[in-house]
Formats: sequence, C-alpha cells, structure tokens
Amino acid sequence: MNNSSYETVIGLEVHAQLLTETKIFCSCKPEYGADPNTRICPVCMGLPGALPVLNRESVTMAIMMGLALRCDIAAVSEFSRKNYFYPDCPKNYQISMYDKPLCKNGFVEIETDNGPRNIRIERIHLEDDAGKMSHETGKDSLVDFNRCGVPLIEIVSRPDIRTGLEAVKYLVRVQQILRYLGICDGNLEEGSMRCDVNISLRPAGSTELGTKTEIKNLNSFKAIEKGVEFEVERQRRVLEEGGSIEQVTNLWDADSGRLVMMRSKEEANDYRYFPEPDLLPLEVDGEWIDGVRDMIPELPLEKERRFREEYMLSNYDSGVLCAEKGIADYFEIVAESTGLAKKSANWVMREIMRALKNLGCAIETFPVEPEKLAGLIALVEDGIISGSAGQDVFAEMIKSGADPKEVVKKLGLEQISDSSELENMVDSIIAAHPEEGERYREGKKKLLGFFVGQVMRESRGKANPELARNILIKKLGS
Amino acid sequence: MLSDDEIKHIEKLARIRLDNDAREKFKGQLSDIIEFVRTLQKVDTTGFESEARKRSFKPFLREGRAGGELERDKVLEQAPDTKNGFFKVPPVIDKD
Repeated sequence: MNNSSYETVIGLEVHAQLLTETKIFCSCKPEYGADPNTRICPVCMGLPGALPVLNRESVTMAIMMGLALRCDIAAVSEFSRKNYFYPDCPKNYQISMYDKPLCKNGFVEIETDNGPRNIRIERIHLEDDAGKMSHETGKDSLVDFNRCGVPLIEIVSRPDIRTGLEAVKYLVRVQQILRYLGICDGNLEEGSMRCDVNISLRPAGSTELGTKTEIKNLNSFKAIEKGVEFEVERQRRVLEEGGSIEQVTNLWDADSGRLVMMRSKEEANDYRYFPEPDLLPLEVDGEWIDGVRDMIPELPLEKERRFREEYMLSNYDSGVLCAEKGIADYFEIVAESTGLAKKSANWVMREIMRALKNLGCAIETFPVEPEKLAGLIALVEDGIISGSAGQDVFAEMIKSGADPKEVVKKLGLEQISDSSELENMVDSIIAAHPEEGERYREGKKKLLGFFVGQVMRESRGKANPELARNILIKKLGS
Repeated sequence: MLSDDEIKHIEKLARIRLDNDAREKFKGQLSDIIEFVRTLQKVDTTGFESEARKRSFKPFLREGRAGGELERDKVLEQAPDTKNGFFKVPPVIDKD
C-alpha cells in the first residue's frame, strides 16, 4: 500500500460483549454455548407488556472502558430504538444509544513505524445484542435467542487509521484493555468481540472523505488485515480506472478469502431511531464515575512503560510480557523474588509461554507457581544445577507442580562443585588416558575438551564444567 | 401529501402490503397526521426545555442477580416451527 496518489482512511466499530452476571435489560444469565433458547425471558424475547430495566453492572463496565480510553462520561445519556426486521431480533428493534451516547471523545495510543500515534475514539455506547442465526444452505434458518439482550458496548473510532496493519494494532490494544479491565473476554472467533471496518480512499493531501464501504464478519486479526488490504486494492483499481465507489456493505468470507457483497446503498437501512419510551434517561453522577475510576487497574501501555523503566527491559520484551495481565503479574513475582529481571523475562517468554502453548492452559492455572520458578532460576544462577539440568527440573515441575529443590534431590541433579571430589575424579581420568595427556602437553590444547567431556561423562553431567576445566588445566600441566 | 414512493417505502419498513385502494386511503390519513405535526412545529418554543423525557425521578437500576429464564418447551410452544430447540424460520441470507 505504498501508492502515493491515494490515502487510505479507515474507521473501526468494535462490539464487545460485557461479562455481566445478567443481561442488560433482564435477569437472564448470559452463557456462551448454553443449549439453544434456554437463557431467555419475556423481556429479551420482546413479549407484549414486558419492560426493560437497565443493569447497573453493564453501565459500570461501559464507564470503565470509557475512562480507560480517556473519554468524557456523559452526565445524562439516553437509549433509543433502532428499528429493523430480522429473525435474530424478536423485539423488531435494538435498544441502543443514538444521539446521546454514554462516552465521547477518547483515544487509543498505537505504535507505528513513525512512533506512537493516537487513534481518536468518537464514542462508546451501550446496546443489547441480537440472537444468533445458523444458516443451512438452501434450507431453513435456525434461531437461538440466548444472545438477545447480552450487553454490548460499541466502540467507534474516528477515521484515523491508514493501513490494515494499523487497524490490527488498534484492535489488539482495544482487546488487551478490555481483558485487563476484565469486562470482556475479547474472543473474536466466538464473537464476544466483533469488528466492522469502514474504508474509503481519497487523493493524498485531501481532507474530504471519499465514499466508504463497510466490511462485516471479520472474525480474526488475519481476516481484518487481509480484508482491509483486499478492499483498499479494489477501491484503488476502481478509482484509477476513473470509476466511482459505490456505498456497499460487504461480508468477509474467510473460507475463500474474498469479500461478498451484502447490500448496496439502495437497500441501505432506514432505522427510524426514536427515544426508547420504556427507559428513562441514564444519569451518571461524579461519585459513580470516581468509584469506577478506582476499579481500573494499571493498563497495558502504562505497564509496558514501567517495565522498561523499572526492569530495564526492551520495548519488545515489555510488549510481550504485558500483552496479558496474568503473564505480566507472573513475571513481576518472579523478577521481584530473583532480583534478576532480564533472566526472569527470558524464562517467562520462552519456557513458560512454550509450556502454556503445549498444555493449552492459561497462566492462571499453570502448575508452576511464580515463586517456584523463581526458586529454579536461583538454583541455576547459584550453580547448584546446570542450565540443562534446569530444563529437566522445569519439565518435572510442570508434571508434578513440585518444589524445584525437591525435584533436584529426587532426580539427583545437584552439580558437583566440591573440588576435592572433582580432583579425585580428574586424577583417575588423567591416569586412564596417558596418551592424550602426553599429546596435550606437547601442544595439542584442544584435547582439554576431550578431558572435560570425560569428566562430565564420569559424573553423569553433574560436574560443574567450569570447575572441572580449571582443575584439569592445573593437573594436566603445560 | 405523501408520494406513492414514500407510501411504498413505509409499507416496506412496516412489512405490510397494501392494495391500491388502501394505499390511497392511508396516503390521505398519514399525510393528515404529518400535516398536524407540521402545524404543531410552527409554535415558537424557544426558551422552553423539552419535557418529553423530563427527569422527574432517578431511574431504577437493576443489580445483577441471575434468574427468571423461561422453560424452553414453553417458549417454543409459541413458535410456528422449531427444530432441535431452535426457532425455525424461512431461509435468510441478507442481513439487515
């Protein structure tokens, strides 16, 4: 995307399902994967006479995200009805916020090749989710209403994003923040975090926006990057051939890696928004906002900065460690108790992350507690066991969750660092290899490696190699 | 007066189909309603705050305690057609 004649303009809409105890307007319990149509009631089914009552927890979570993205929180916001007919929506309208959203004017900082940049946030508002349809080609469609009324926040960015890669960086940040706050599990594949992308091109240097198209159904970061690139290329070709862009909505088809047109402007919706008469305006006072502010943990960007300063870690290391709050917390305990930040970072980024991947488990349920890993690192650093023995001990700790010292004892892995024991061993090895000793003294110094190898073999890998080397040099003479 | 296209658009939005007689009848009635509102809009309301949603009391908010789900069999009883616990509807591809 290095063509200089056009600039790409991208805006993103992210829908995030909030991890509330109950749905947004009723007491049904949201549960992903529950049996179809078992988490529904008259309110979320839109049965006549049923009235919505707003869930306080969902507002608290939305305010949390608003504050985390540096938004202004509106003292009064308002729900509206967005009217449409589709089988996934039994009320025939979605309850959303239209002209009076809860949060406005924030930003998300992303790293680009030209340094950090703020992607502005236009608004964050609350709304209810629709049901889930499954389509069998050529056959009837099946509807599960369990998802109806699950609270969503919609996070709308300003058109500040320029490439597919930037879009992904922005989304990764948003996902991290949602997870740090513990308000959404951010799972794109399961749809707890969903993303729509608006794309337009304009002549470089122009400040006017071109006609935009929308892509829906992007359910992985890879799909988002590819989908954006695909659409940007398509628009560029149309414009370069002198054509004009038609305002359309496309669906990303992950199987074929293509965009499928969903509707054109002529079929664009007429949602007839009007204030939701069943709900009073939502009032949020300063006390509520202050209370929410106190609930916000250190966010990934601040944590990364602190890791760089406090532990002298690189941008890369602090980025990897802070991607997940649980990993960052784990690392900090290890680093604090060993006092060795870089060594601890390496262990967490290599061994721990590899083990998590192999086990398919989360850091929270990982069998080796951070204090125990710190113990293991200390054993290696103090020369009690060798680096390779450390790997064996770690493997055993994953299996049994045992204390590293116990594992070392059980496997008999303590390094021999007692020089008298090693001296005896060296003496007998030199005596057993007089020829090699002679050649060594004649100048074939490379044979020292041979002798060290013999010591390691004799000690079954437990000799401290550094110490063995020194004793050998002394005993072999020159 | 509403145009024929506007009436057809409203039919589409409301998912109803009118025959020509009904269309003429509703065209008149709906136009009257719009005219009525237009008359109201002529009143000068500068300096008055909207009372449509006046905040006379604080809205009640619900604390999250789960419960109250309906039994699935009862829910599905109401549906014209079902399959394996799902509501069954005619095939749809286009998502509004």
